[in-house]
Amino acid sequence: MTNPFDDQNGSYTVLTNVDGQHSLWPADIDAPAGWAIVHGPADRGTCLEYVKQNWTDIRPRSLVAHLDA
Amino acid sequence: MAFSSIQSRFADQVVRAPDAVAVSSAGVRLTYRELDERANRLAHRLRELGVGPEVPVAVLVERSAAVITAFLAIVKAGGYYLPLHSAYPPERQQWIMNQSGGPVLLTDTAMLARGVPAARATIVLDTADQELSTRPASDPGPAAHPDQLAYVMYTSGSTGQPKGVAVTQRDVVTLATDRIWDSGRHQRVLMVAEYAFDVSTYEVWVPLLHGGTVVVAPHGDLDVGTLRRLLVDNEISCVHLTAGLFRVVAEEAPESLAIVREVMTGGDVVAPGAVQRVLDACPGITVRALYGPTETTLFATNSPITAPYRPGSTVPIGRPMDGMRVYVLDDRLRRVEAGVVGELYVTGAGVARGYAGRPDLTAERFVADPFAADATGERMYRTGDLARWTADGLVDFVGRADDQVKIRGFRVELAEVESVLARYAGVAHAVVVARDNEQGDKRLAAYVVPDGPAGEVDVPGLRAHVADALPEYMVPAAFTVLETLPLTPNGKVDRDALPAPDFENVSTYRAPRDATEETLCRIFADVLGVPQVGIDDSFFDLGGQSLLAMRLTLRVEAELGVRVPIAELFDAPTPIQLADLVKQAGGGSRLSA
Repeated sequence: MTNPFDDQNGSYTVLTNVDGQHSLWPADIDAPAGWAIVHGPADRGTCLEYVKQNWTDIRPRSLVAHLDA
Repeated sequence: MAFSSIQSRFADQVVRAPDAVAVSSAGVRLTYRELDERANRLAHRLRELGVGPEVPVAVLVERSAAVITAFLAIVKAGGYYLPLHSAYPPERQQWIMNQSGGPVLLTDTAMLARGVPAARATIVLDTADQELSTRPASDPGPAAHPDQLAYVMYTSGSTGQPKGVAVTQRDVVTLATDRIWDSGRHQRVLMVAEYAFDVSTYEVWVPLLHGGTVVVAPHGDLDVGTLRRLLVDNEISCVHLTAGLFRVVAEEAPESLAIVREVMTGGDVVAPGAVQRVLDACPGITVRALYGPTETTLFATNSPITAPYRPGSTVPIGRPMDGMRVYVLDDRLRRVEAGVVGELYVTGAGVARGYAGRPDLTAERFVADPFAADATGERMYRTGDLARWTADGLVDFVGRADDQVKIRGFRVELAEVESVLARYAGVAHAVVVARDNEQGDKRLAAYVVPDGPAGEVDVPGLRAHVADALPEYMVPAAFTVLETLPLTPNGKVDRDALPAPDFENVSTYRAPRDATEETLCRIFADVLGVPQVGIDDSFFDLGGQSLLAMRLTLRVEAELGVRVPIAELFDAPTPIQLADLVKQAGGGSRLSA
């Protein structure tokens, strides 16, 4: 059984939630409620590269807002 | 309800019972008030050094009361602790420090003498009293946000570098306030784990946030005799033993545990036979099997077991902790029925923030939860563990879905060891596999292919290179040089077709010359699970490690009447040297009975 997140030849999307957290997601499975597609469908490597470039601070947004206040 | 942070819950205990003993360690007893004041002074010093929310402070000390003062002070200053393992090679310690942007380091004289990594500032805790005495004893007092970090702990990473699991205040408080600690059995807890591993989250915070006492075991590996003495002398009510140590105690001296009210075990597969032996010897205690990756804050599920116990083929890992849920899912992320094997996912309280500084790794392991009740974008951690539900609604651990293995309870990504091997000059390809020996203990076997057709690999040099880069439990016990690696039809390395590793090839057999040496050679071979051992063979070169050393010293005591502390085994690791020690101590085998 290949894990649906580990298929090196699979097609994926990148999801984000209200806290700006990112999740890799199999392109052929519906995105769960509370998550929006921000990238893809694309291959796995491209999606992870997107995450690296766009989610540079993994702190949740609500915490960042609190600390900056 | 407003969030109650680690430090505010600790402060509640200081108000409630200031004179109760919080920490007991060799020669040191700290009441809640004393610990509070000590940690406050250090926290003020850390604040002066710029420590605050989301700022790391590294800790490298011997296991002692200082570990607890350090963790508490760091949290009180608003920062998070970054524990370094004293047995990690300096290169790995420094790498972890650098990844964290060069934090302040808290250390002690003993570690300083051995060498500590370079830091922005270093405080030597056991000589800092005078310097710290000028700081206020009052709480420095910044309130903590539930999502700010409490600690980052490093674990083996499949990309070839360790990865830091970032755990928040909320994660720690949720774990420490689970209802399973309300039994009254966790008032006197023995701290035996390496504090750089997450069992310390239980050992430190569960007692301290409940008004209990942390009893700190002396630094270094324990033998069963010492463990028993510590349990009895300190009236310990609960201790957590790794699955490997639990099995050794169960097989060699299960009655040692009769004094405690609960023994917890986990970190690897728990043997049903070991649970039975312990409950047979100590029918009044609870054995609690626990499961959880560092990424879900130590424990995700637990299963309390009491006598009468009828062992099955496995020990189920039980039901989720408070506030957590677990899913067993198929390859389309659908729930599977009871009895069907799927991958285990954990969600809810305790799911960590992710991997420090690694958004890509975080996004592929901490993923959207398709079953969350509301649309808040909750995440679940995919463990990579295979599991199934039992008919009774318990989770049963089945195995691993990937190349992560447990060596004596330590998580090891085979790919990390392979990448270190492949960096060595003259190595073209490297593969590492885990193989069971006769006792069912896993050991690592490395296979390397030299660069170029007439290439050679300097195996002793390669072993030293690996030992410089990786902790001892990640260094393979056997190295085999191959011309080519066997491949499957689709071009991947065929791990099943690799030749059997030669774990004994380091033996330079010389036969025993008297009865004592003969007995020792036999005990060595039994404990190590090898056919024969010569008198000059080193226990540690043959794959001996701390758990096996514990067995060895117990057997030596039983058969030759001499108790050899594990520390002395390091200085006398061969049968010939050990025979001298035994004879000096007046023990030994007579030629005829």
